[in-house]
Amino acid sequence: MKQKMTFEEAAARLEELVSKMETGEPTLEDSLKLFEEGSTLSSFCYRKLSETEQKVRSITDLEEKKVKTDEQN
Amino acid sequence: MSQSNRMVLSVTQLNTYARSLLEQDPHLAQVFVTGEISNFKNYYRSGHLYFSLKDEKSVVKAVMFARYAEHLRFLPEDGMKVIARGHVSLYEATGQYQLYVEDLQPDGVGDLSIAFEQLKKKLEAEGLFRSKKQIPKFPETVGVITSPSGAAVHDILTVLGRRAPEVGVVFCPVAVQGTDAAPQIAAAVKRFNRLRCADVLIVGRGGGSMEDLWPFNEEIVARAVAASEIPVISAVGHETDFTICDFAADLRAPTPSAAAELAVPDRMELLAELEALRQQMRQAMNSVLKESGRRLAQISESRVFRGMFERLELQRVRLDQLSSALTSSMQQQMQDRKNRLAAVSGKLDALSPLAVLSRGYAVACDEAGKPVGHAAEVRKGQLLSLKLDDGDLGCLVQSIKIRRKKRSEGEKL
Repeated sequence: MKQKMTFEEAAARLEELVSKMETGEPTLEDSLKLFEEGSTLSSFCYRKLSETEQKVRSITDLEEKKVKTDEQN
Repeated sequence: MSQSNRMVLSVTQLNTYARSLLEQDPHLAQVFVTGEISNFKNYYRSGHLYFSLKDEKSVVKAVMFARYAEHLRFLPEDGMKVIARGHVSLYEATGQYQLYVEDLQPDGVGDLSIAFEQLKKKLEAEGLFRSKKQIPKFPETVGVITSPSGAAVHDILTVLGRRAPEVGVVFCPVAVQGTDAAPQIAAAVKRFNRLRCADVLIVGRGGGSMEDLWPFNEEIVARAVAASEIPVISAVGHETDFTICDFAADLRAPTPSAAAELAVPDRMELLAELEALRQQMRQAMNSVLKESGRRLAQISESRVFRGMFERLELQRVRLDQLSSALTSSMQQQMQDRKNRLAAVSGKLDALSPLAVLSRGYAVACDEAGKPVGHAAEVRKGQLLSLKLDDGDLGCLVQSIKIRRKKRSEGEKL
């Protein structure tokens, strides 16, 4: 799995590998690999969805933060 | 009237006089005139507008200076029915009497409606409404551009929080009505694009009069929205309100709440979909496993394999036989060795000097315990020890008699 994967990418990959598995074309070994990857992806997605506290930030804060990091760099 | 009394005026004097008459008339100081625009000329450089107003029978020249014209929200055009407010005067250079227009209102429809149609047509012709970006299915962050005090922000945050609390929100408060609103909204869109801090933007406000919603019909907003790299959902007013911003945006939502619904997927639906995917994956894995098991069974049943198994069995039997033969041969060898060992140790026993003693013989040893082999080695009076089978005797040698052995025998030994 990529370092910083988005929910969208994870869900898309999950859909892709499920339909690949459903064709029955991959070998047993490949299917097991896909299954393992799929399990990781679905737990990642579940984890993402389990964040239940809405985070609201103001754009001004983000701009100030960016200015600070730009200055540091 | 005599010739001398006649006043001779210059053209300028005449025009000035006529002008002063017109300007002094209180009725002409402020008039409202309705008519249709014709001969419209827009001197872009100066910003002054020149046109005529006409009805079925008559025409009057009109001018609208830039300082007034810049407040117009629509651009006058030929054939447009208008009500002009202004004063009447005379342009001395041409002697043309004319209407100096200070405000122009479309007759029948509002000026805003006309401005709306005009801008829409213009931007449409430019192709500004054509390219639509895809709204991401699963945004990580939603940018919200609206008033901090209206109901819209509350509605948007509530819906986002209910449907997708995992999605972050970045809020940019702006004025949504009044003269500051349009520049602020346009700037907000640009700020989000500069920071790239949202995957989708919601731009909007709650319901209001056409005047209230006007900032969302301004060109600067439409251009900023159309130029946004981040997809924009426009949500201005109620379902029935359409704004230029709606056309410029990638998606129009009927209300701010609806915009929030369009921006994020529903968490419950996602969970259900995810669960379904997981089920599908398990089923697919199970059927792969089942299929592999079935194939394995099939292959083991096949003749090739069965033949192989039979051969294997034969080999195994042979192996068993060989290994038991090996074991018994090993045992046999061990037994043989044991037997030989017993025989040898029996012989050894027979050869032991102690065995001789048990038959009644004795060994004579000197003081050092060394066996004495020849009479000649012993002196008279020497103490010898006689070893018998069951004990030792100390003996004093009283006499020595040496017996000569046969020479040949001695040589043989």
